[in-house]
Amino acid sequence: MEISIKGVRKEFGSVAALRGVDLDIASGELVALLGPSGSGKTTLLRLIAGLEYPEGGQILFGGEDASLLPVKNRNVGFVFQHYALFRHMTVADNISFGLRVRSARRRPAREAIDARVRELLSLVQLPDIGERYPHQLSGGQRQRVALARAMAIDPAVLLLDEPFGALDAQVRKDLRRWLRELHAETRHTTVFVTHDQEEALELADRVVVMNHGVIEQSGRPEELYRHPSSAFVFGFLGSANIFPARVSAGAVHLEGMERPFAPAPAGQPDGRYRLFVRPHDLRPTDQPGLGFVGVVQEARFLEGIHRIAIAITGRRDPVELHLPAHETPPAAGSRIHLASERFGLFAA
Amino acid sequence: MIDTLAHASLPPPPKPHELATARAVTRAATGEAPAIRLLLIAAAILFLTLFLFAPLALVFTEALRQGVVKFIGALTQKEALAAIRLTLITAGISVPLNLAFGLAAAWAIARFRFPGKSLLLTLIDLPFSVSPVISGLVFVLIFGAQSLIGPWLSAHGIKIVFALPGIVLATIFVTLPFVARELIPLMQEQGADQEEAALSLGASGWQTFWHVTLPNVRWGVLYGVLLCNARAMGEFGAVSVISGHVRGLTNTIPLHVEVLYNEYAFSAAFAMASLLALLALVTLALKTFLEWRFAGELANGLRH
Amino acid sequence: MTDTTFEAAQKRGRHRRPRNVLPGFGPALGFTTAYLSLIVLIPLAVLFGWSLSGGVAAFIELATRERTLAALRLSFGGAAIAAGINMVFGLLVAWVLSRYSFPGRKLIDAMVDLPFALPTAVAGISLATLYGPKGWIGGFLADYGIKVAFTPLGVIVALTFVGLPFVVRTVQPVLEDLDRQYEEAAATLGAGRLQTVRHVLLPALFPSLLTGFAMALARGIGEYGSVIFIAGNLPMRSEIAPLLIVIKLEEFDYRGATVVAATMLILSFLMLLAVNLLQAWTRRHSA
Repeated sequence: MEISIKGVRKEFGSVAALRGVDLDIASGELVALLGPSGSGKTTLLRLIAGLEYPEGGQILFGGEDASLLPVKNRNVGFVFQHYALFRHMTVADNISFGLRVRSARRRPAREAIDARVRELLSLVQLPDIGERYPHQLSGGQRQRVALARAMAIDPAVLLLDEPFGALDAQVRKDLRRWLRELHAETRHTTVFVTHDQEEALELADRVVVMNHGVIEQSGRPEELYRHPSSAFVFGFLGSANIFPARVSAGAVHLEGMERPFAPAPAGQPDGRYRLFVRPHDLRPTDQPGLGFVGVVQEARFLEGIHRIAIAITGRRDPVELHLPAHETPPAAGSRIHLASERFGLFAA
Repeated sequence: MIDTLAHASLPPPPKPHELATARAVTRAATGEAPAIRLLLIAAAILFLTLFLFAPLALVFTEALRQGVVKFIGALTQKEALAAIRLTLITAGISVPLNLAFGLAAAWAIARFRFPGKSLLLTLIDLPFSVSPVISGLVFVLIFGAQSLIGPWLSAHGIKIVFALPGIVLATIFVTLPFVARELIPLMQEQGADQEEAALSLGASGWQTFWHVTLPNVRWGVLYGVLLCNARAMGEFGAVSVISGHVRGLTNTIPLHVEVLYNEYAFSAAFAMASLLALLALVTLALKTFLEWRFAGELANGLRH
Repeated sequence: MTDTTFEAAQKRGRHRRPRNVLPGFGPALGFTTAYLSLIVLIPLAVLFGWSLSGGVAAFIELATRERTLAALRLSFGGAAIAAGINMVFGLLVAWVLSRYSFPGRKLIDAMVDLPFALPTAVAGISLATLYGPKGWIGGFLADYGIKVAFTPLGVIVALTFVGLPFVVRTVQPVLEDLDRQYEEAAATLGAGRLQTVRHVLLPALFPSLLTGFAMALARGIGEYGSVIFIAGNLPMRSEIAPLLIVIKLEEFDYRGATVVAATMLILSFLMLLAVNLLQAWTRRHSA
């Protein structure tokens, strides 16, 4: 089911958690809400679920206004950060809960419920644990059971709050791939919240970056990474070297450097800026015209990449440069000349 | 969506009036509507009023019904003063003894492992589940005229039953668990690290106890003593059985309250009762203060 | 000797002489057990000895006399009903105190412990006056033909007062620690508020409710001071078991008194055992 969020606002006391959010989620899409803590991503998820009500704006489910529809009638599958599995119920009872609490008119027959539980358990690849209690499961198993429970009510949308936050690294990786496959198979409209950019970029069809209660940018992972539209997004996704810079006479100058860094992008007005450039977009160059010069401090090799720290006069932090494994890193102490055509310029 | 699974359609969209109601009544999605909330609060307060506040208020209004002069007169009667004195003496003996017991029991149980520990814990709790009347009765059986040692005691002029020693024994029985029950979980939580550190630095056992253990549990001790004292001064059933109700001699404040009440001296009875009610309120206030100020230095168990 | 058996031996050794760096184990345990024996264990043993001094048959005969049975029934039944009332209203009070904020909440929270601190005799004469035919509440109830004083109802009123804090104090911390997410999860799955309370909240609170019930029950069975003033001493009607003990004692019927006392203790013990078993069972199913 497609979901439309229009100008949604939410305050907690005097603190604005969401300050006018617009977002359209297509049916079957897998969307990540990414942002630092306090960015409003969890609040947005809870508003979609109906666990909170907006102070302004609308939330549409399939074109119908669902803004004030009580949570129990909203038919959303919510997976809580710590799963919130009912401790006194078996796994099977947890999964069937949403079906069993329906009014007699809408409640499936007992056999249908049992069949559905079996089906879901096999879907989450845990066919034999129906009679166990949550405390007898591992973290990853609990996560899957929570997902099965949420899917049991055949939700209009699946909402996951930091779905991998409580798991250790290896389980997290496995579950991520598994969730991706599961989504490809079931095509549930899915929204999940995360503060981990790697998780968002790896898993989602579309990533929505949030900060201070507004959406900074939304798009496909690659698009966001390559064309961040704000300083926040540039800095939040991946690493970046940040320089104070100025544009004048058709060229970009780093503060304190005599030669220009690069030609100014077409139509860029003169003025002061902050320049962002990714470590792997910097290239050593022999051409003396553009770029800057520094001294190699040290070079380390990690995960197939040379990571080189370069000291520059007048700058406290070293600049970071990444070179692919097959290239030979410059020796420590040597002078190096760097330039880049790919960078971001944002108002200072 | 999983097409092999049974489909349940989304419920029909809400009608406008439903939305209005939702806006009006619901703030948190999983809370109760304000009306229900109010109803529950009112029901709880009504229950507490009937069973808690009204009885408490009545003690003071009845005590002051005939004016302050009569009230003070009732408290300064010779027998009233004797009862107050006896109550203070009883508490003054039994509370320190139970404090010593509590410290010893907590040291043994919270600092050492030994077989039969959980049995010992259960036995320490036992007085809480024994009727106070039985707590008094057992000492009548041991020291009374019909007992084995009764004749020997009376031949030597030693009075225990119907006298101060009996009253103290019964009070100790009833209030035995209070300090221990507070200290054992507290010392278990704190662990022995600090004591071991003190010993490794060359402190003796007593030095360790005085300078490390006691300061760490002082608020817990105070808490236990507070509750122990309240019960010791207010104990009725156990003391009633063993005291013999000798006016001016073996009547504690609660027993004197009973005597006055049964003689239809209601105002005087409630005047004495108001003293105990005041003690209860002071105890509660101190207890609340300790819980608020030193929450981290008290055991998290249930309070008695 | 292999490493493993050496380690095992070391472990056994440590087990036998645990934490022996700390001094004072002997004196502390010695004092504890001696004190406990002198004050509690030996006296209770003497009690059981007295109760059996006429033989088992005589014990049973005394314990099953009509008046004794009536008193026991009243003490246990009254305590059970009062604990039941406290289970319902204690849950309500704990709920209101931990979930809602309203003026006076903190004061009420502190006052819930009043029955722990207020001497029973004070509670007794106050409740007797309050619920007596001329009292604030008793007078009101009398207009509707409900008599509290000197009836079993009076016993229940007094025991409700005495047991009031137990359920509140066992349930409240559990309720405060209970993550809201469980309720939210139930709501997202389509459960109504009542369904959530029934299927999610109550099962989670049940063990603590049961603990509170058991404690209120144990306290109520033996309660004396707060009951006698309001209940009076009508044999077969409002005479509780502890009062029967006192009456027998005043008649110098020591054996009669000890038989009632021993019966009370045995029954209380069996009852608490049953509650503990039930609790162990529920805990196994909700871990």
